[in-house]
Amino acid sequence: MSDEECPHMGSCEMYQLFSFAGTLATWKINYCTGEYARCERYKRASSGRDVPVNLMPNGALLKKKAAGAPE
Amino acid sequence: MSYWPWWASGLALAAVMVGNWLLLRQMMAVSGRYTAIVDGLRRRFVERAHDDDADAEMTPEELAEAVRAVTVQEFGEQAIEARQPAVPPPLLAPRSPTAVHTLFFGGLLLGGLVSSLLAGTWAPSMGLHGERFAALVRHSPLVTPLVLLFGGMCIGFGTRMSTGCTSGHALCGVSRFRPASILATCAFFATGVGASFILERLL
Repeated sequence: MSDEECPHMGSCEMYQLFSFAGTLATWKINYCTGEYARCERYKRASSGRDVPVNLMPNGALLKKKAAGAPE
Repeated sequence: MSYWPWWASGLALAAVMVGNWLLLRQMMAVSGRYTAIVDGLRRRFVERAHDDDADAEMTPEELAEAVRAVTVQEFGEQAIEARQPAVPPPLLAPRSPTAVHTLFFGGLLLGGLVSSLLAGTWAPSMGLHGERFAALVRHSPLVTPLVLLFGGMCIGFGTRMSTGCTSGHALCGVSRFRPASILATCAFFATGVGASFILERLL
């Protein structure tokens, strides 16, 4: 466990989402203020690559549910 | 060369920092804005449309559903249920458009110009200040831009490596007591003092 917080928190769109929504605090605890080095957003930003706005810390991309997709 | 009083500069910087947060809800980051401009141009002219970003344009309901699915996948159902009542997440914060960043840099130039004009020191020059530095590049109109370009590249490399520049670390990070920013700021100033000392003594 890291005792630091992610240096990209100030500019991360996803962090702002986690901060506003209480149900998403698990992400913040486990990544932003926890082991942020394994966050896919952190890794991309640190290596100078573009960070998609809908990229989750675990590497998953938030996508719209396709019409007619099973529940 | 005359400078603003330290207290006036401090107040002005604080106003910019707080204003940036109030208007954009983002920490001040000059090098970050530069990176954002380059990224914006790259997306626009090199990579064209970013397919992933198309999915980011969701309604709050669609976003809540998408986030819920990924959260359950990562942490299980209990991660959602343990944190009731569920509050729908807001929309993903949109990227600040490239125009905003460009406007910021335009403001930097304009601010410097106004300050210089008010002080009566306006004198455009393509050279380096100081006779010793000018002598180093032998007053060459070709070498001076190359030296400045090399210096700029060093700054860019260093700020990317330390994930921030003097605005991000020294102004925003130190004021939030972030250890990494305090260490980075110490390194900035120590290197600056050391480099100035070496240049002054050796040139």
